[in-house]
Amino acid sequence: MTSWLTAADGPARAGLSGPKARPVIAGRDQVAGLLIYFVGAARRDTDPLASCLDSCGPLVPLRYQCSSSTMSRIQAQQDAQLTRAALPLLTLTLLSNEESYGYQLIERLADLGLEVTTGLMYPLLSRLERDGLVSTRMVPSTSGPPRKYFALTEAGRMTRASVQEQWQVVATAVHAATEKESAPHA
Amino acid sequence: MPDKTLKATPTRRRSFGDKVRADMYLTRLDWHLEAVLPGKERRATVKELRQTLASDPRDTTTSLRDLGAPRLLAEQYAGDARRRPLWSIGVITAGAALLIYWTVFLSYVFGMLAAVESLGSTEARATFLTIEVSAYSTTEAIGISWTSDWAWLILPTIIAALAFFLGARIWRAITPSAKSS
Repeated sequence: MTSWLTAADGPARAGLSGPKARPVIAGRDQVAGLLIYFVGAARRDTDPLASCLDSCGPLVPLRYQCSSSTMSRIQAQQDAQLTRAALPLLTLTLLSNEESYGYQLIERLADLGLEVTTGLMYPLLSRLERDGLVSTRMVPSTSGPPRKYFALTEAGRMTRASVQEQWQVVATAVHAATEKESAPHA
Repeated sequence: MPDKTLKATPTRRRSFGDKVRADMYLTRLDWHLEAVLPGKERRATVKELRQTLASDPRDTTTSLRDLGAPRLLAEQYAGDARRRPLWSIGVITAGAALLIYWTVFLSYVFGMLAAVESLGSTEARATFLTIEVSAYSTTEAIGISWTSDWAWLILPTIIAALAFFLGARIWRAITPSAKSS
């Protein structure tokens, strides 16, 4: 049986998460997890299982995540890269619905179950503005300094359509490949 | 138009310590942004981030942790693969190298002075990295001295220049397109 972990158990810095779901861990994986916990506890002061899960990303079987530190590291890197790849499309899509300021976009993504750090979002918005894909305007705030609102430009709309198309091509290819691989061999 | 239905995120009141920490973070970010953004754009980015931090509803520790290490955040702002020299970090590295040099030098000379006093002799002479130094202790006077020839200035200058060269990654100015491929 394969146990799937959601990103609620993964780090915010890894990017994606599903805060409402809880992990379902199979008995065999629990044994493996306990072994890692106690072996790791002898080496570190921190909670090793937590740190292992912390470095893992969403939707990855526990036995793959924690089978080795190398695997976890590779998984964490892959998650970060996946988030970076998806974030421009997500941001352009959210901005096509309505203009928002930076932190508001993070909150809107969190409402969708995706946790993204400001360290990823703010530079992305800066790059989108530099490339002319979003326009900005300052709006006075009653609770502090004025906020910078971002809205999609016409170039941004075209880019979003193009990126979405690319994403669909990749997603379809990945889906087809994984379905084929996971199908029982004759 | 901004969505009025979204929950309001009130700005948190910052203490003096929070402002100092945010300023230190932004200063370090500014140093690293030199590698990826030209001056005007860099200043605008730091100013914008300062405003964003001021309006962040979370506490300063969480806000700064979420942004990540200044060096890594600066890398995220890069528009291309080109990296510029880090002039500010070069100056700081050179200053730190000089500080270390003078600390070691003065420790050496004052150590000599302590030895002269404890041994009851009047004067001791030695060479510290090509610089002739002396320590003396008589009934009339006590002190340290070193020769005022070229070595006294040249050696610290070489150390500072080397530290500046390495800290600022000067070679990036010489080969600006080296990393742009």
